[in-house]
Amino acid sequence: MPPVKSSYKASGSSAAEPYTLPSPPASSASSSASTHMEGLNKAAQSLYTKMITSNEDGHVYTQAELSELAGISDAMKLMPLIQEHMNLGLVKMLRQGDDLCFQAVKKEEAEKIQAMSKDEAMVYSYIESSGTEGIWTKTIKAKTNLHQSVVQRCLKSLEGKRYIKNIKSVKYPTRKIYMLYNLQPSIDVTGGPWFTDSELDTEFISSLLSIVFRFVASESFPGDDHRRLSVSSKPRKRNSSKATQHEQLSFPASYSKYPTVSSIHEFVRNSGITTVDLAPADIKSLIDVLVYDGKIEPIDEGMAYRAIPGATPECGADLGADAEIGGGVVWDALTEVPCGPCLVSDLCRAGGPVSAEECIYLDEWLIQ
Amino acid sequence: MSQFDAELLVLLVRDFYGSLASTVIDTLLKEGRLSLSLLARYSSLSTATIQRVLVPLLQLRFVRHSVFDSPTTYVVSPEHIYSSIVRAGQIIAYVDDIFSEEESSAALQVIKNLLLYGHIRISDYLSAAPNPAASTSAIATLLRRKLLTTLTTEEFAPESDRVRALINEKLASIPRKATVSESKRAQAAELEAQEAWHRIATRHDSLSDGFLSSGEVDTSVVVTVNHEKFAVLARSRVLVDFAKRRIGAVTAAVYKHVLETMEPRLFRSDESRITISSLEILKNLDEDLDLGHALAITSRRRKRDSSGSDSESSQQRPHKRRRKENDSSSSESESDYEMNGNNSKSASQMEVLNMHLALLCSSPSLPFLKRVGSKGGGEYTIDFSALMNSIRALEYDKLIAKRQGAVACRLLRIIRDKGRIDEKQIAQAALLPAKEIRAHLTALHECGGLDLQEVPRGADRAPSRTYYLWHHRPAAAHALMAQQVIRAMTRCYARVIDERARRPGVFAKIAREAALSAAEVEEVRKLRDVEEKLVVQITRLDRLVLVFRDCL
Repeated sequence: MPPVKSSYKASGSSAAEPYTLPSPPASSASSSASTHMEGLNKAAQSLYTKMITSNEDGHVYTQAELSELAGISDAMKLMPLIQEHMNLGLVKMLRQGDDLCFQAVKKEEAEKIQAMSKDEAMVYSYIESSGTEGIWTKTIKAKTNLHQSVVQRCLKSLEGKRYIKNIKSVKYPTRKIYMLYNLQPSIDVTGGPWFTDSELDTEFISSLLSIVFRFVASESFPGDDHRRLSVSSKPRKRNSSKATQHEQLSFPASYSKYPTVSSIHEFVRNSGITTVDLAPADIKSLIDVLVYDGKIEPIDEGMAYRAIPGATPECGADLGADAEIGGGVVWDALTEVPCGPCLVSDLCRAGGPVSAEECIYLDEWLIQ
Repeated sequence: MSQFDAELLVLLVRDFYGSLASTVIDTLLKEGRLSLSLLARYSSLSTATIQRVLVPLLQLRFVRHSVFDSPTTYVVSPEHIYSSIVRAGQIIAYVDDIFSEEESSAALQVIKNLLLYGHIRISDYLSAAPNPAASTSAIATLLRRKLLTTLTTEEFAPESDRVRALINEKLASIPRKATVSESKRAQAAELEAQEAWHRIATRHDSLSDGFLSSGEVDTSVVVTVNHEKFAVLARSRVLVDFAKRRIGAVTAAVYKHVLETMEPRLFRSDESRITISSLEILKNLDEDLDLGHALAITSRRRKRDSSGSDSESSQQRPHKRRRKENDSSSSESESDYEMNGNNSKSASQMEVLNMHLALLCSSPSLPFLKRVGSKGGGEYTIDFSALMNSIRALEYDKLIAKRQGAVACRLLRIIRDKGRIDEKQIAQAALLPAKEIRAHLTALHECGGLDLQEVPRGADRAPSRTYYLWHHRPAAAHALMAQQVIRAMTRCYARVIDERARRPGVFAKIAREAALSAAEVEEVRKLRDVEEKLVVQITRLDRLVLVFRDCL
């Protein structure tokens, strides 16, 4: 079979490409671990043990390294040892640039592959090499040169054995993508913490937004936590004669304990609201949305944030405009009058199909 | 000058000055500058009629006449018509506000007459006024506060003509030379003319304008209402409203005082950069204003010994530790953040004032005030153009949020912040699914809030290989919004006229001063209610026009 290139991105290992596939075992598929090791001669056994133990998992050995490990300088003597390994699927051959390299495969893993059919093993090797990114079935077909139905059969049997699983990609929601059963899909595939089942979890986001806003708001104003949050509650009155003057209570401009990204991050983490692990960057994007919604504003060149008076924790923009804090005026003269949001105002003229004189919306509004 | 502006002006002029005047204004607005004969041809009125109509219009300066052309041409001054009619009520209310009760009647009389007649020579007015002494003092006050301004003959000509004449004059004064190119000469003339125009435009700014050297009112001058100054005052009210909403009532009161302190030096809304110090602000600050109560200040005593474990714990939840209003005095020493009571008022009034001013400086998104130095307890200025830009943007966002929903507003603000940006990135920043935002973007595009730029990746310009970048052009979007506001005003006013027309009998009776039946009285009352509602709405809409169009 001709060597086929594939993008090999197994976790931790360098960019090596699978060069050839383990040849199918001569013995029957039911061979056990002991028979594996038995099938090897002493020298081969010790070399395999050294390869497994002397370096971390997935280490890629060059030929020079191997000969040093085995204590054999003659390449011709080394070759049969390696061949023996490869026959049993204990060593994988890879290509790194122009050099051939070798990688030890764990016994259990080797057994698994030994137990598969040739096609299955080939498909499996590509899925394995795709790492946490997953691989599209079409790509598998193109790379293996196998017929569609063969690939389908292999995938089905591998999935049945729980060697691989089908995942959904955020980027390509229509593609069938497979990856090894025991791996977690990468952020590129899942779309990060905001995605659940490859769909943007708006519910989750809006509740987090509201929580973050409540936290920022509770740290932005002196006084009891909820007074300025709820629109319905009346402004506190102390001396009714001086009520107008007491409607304001602010921290001075020099106040330095407004929440920062890290303090908000800590709050969200410690509050136990979510089991999803949120990075500071994720919190920052939540904060940005709140800034865009006009609920909070950055101060000190974006080092800290404070809530805008009158903003409400409900999702969506309000720019602190509608709540009447301190008896402020409600300012939407345009939307109040029916002409503002009118959809047919382009047709509206004296004597036209619609006119201010005969407008029923104006009639209603004037009666109000 | 848009269709809607013209519609509103014609409607207003028709209601206030009759249909002949409105026909002339309409013709001039549609056709532009016209001579008398052309005006007669386009308006299908006789020359004599037009002449009769033009007299009051020129007197009111609704129409300006060019003295440089022969035959004389006529041009409408739309801004002047707008502010004279739409803002008349606000002007009167403001004048009523600043005068004490006994003085206000004379001052109101002056202002009402000026709004009615356009301009008046002071001596003429005094000879007809019932109480010349009170009127003189009212005029003096109004002139000193720049609510009235003197008028010269040239100001009856269109501004553009006067600038053009100035440039021509300067051009003639620069000799032609072989070594200097013609374009350079024109450039030099323009520059000189600009300077000269600035001198002319600001010549009424002098405090002694309209006064004799003895300090008495010069009764030989002609005066008119200074709309530029009233626009400044209206803007101040907008700013104070915003400060009240964004910070609080007390700080807004301080801000109001700051603006009032600056006001004598603010002549028109496009001027800026006036520096004042805390000392100046403090001088006339309302004694009753309890500044300290509005701030949660660390008391000085506690500041000194707040160290170690105390300050550490206070970092966690400072607001929890603030003293409750009704708490007994024993808890006082335990609190880090407490209200500054009356006792410390005299000692640190300046300090507290500076804290309020710092609060006004503290919001980068809405810079009410800017600290520029430390002389006199701190020097402050207001960058009006930057501040009005933020306010305009905020107002626009709010209108968009109201009409198209919160999501559209979020998207708009993202696009404004990022510049040119494609849909995918918008979705990422907004934490919304790309599918969901498309409809909002199209709706924003439709109402003029957004523009779309196509950047093809290949020569074939295939849609699939093209970047689509959304962007927001504030000036265009705001101008469109102003048009929509003016359109709404037009409709409201059309309705006012219609409501009156629906009750012809009652009006005829009122005109005859005949006695009304009980039913008719009720009818009139209902009409007044409707009128009031619509006119109040127009006034409120006018504030938006001020923000979106006039205070650029």
